[in-house]
Amino acid sequence: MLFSLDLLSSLKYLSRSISRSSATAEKTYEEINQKITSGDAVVLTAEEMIAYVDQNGVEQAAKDVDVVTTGTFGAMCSSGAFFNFGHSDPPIKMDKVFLNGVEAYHGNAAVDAYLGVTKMSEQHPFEYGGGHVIEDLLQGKAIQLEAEGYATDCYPRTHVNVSLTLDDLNQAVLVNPRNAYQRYNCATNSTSRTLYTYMGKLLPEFENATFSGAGEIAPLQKDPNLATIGIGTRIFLGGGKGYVIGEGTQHEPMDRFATLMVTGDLKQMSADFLKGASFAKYGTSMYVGLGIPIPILNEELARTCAIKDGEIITNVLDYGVGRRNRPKLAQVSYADLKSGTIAINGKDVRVRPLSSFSKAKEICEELKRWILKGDFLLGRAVEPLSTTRQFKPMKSEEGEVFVKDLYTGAATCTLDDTLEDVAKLIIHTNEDHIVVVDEAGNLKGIITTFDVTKAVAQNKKKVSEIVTRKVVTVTPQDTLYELVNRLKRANISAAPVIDRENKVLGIIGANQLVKNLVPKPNEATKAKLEAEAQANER
Amino acid sequence: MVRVNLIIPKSYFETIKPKFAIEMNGETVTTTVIRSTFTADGAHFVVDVPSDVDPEEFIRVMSSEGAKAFRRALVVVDRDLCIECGECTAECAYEALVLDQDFHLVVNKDNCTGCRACTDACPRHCITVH
Repeated sequence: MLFSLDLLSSLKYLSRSISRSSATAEKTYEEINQKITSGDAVVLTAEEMIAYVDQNGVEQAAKDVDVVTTGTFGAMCSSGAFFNFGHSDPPIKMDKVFLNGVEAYHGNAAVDAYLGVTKMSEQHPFEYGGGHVIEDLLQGKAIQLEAEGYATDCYPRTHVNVSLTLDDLNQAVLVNPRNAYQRYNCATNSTSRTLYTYMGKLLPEFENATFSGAGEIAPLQKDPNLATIGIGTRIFLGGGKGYVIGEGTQHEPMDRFATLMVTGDLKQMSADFLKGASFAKYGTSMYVGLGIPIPILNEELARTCAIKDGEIITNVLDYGVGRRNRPKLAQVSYADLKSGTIAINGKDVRVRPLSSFSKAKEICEELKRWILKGDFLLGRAVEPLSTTRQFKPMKSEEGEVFVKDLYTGAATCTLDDTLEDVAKLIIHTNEDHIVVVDEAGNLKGIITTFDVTKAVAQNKKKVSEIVTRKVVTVTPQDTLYELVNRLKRANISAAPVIDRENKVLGIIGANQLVKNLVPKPNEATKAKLEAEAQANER
Repeated sequence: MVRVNLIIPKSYFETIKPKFAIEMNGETVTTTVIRSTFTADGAHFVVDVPSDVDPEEFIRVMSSEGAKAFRRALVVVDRDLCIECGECTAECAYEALVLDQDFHLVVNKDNCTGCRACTDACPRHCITVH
């Protein structure tokens, strides 16, 4: 369906046809649309534009080229669709709505609902979610609608269970609050265990790194000043026509993390460009194909449309740190990322994409084809998007508690100690966990009271015979959430606290956590309690 | 160099030398062990046979000794589902799954060791390893 394009021959064709183009570098939307309608528009994909500017310069490209098509195809969690199912007879005011077992949000009128792509099936969590329902609908498959309602005088029905296809729905409208990230961080993992994240499976000890975003062909990279992309801009969305309806959530244009809120009629989209996704032990999402035509109105747009991967810089973040501000380990360009190897702390790390470049390029080509056919005119934005919005962190009303705030000194022994020594130590210190260290205080293992009991039953004598060498540890900078998740995962009750050099600093576990459980009343509660106490006195 | 899968019963496994040297027609063939998985019944080795040894002969000799030896493409990608995102290539340490210069997925079946690092990582659930 796509015509493969020989870049050089098309460039030659262009240079011939260009001699008749106008001398002025400024163009208007009207001029460009007129050319599109008459079949005279010069449309290049973002890749072709880069080559064209390399060969002919920005000034010439601004005169010659009318439109540059861009594309991206990545997992975009902030996506979903509004549906209207029509009324059953007797009618129902839906209260709970499920589509193929995936719950849709219902907080609107009787038979409207919004299905989000990260919502997972109750029967098949981590495998099937809202994005898969949307893909199934686009493939023409029937999906099962199950809804419950509380009876009202106007909506007497309480339950409905019916199989529906996309054609059976009145409206199916994709509305994605955050799509088309201008760039994204590259993710890696410093810890000793595999992490399952929305950035894919991150192997331990920096064994791999992943990144997302289409780099030099991504829509928002080609118009980073948001000169043409604004509210009302007509776009390619999921294989159909869509529109920008505002800045995306978490839009942060000054930091080159601009995003878009977009919409489009799902009924004219295609399962080729909207694909359900499921990330192991993380959850579901949806791959969204999105492309934007950039009108080359002036030299500045010709320049930004020729920005290359090497000029697009992003951060490598350590996803091993479960905090809002993950440590930045390196700065790399998209050219580095696409090369397959980046250096992190002096180590060569395998780096791979999570978003499909082959599909992103397909979108650039497809959108180009639509424009050349005269099917797709450029829409002038009715309002610009904010170029100054900040992305604030969540307001916090509680001080975050860290391991460093709660850990206590650990009772320690060495590998050469006898179990009798350890038993005495347990009685003396009243600790359930004895941390095994070497002479320098480095972590060698751990022994619990249960291990000692078992050893007595098995007639074992030495620490080295029963020590657990693979130990779950935390650092003082970890949050209590991090600690509790690790303890729960390993089904244990305490973990040694170590520094970066594996030196034991102390221990933290159930005993230390219990002390933190006593709730501290907040200011409002405190004032209320004091007022009540005063009232009682009177 | 050819990669061969060997599923070996415990009885045989106990006589194997650490470097996986195998007596073959009076000569010692030393293979490179790429991966080993041990089970209660024996072990599954993935080995590289040196290029001066005929892999078919190696497989014949190993089979006659009671091992299940096979040279088989292990990894299969369902192209109808695949979107060529590249996530599997981030997990594959053996370059069995790679992206070419145009970012299309290339499956080098002969490199697959059957480690299955790719299968659960695929966001489209389209990789199977036999």
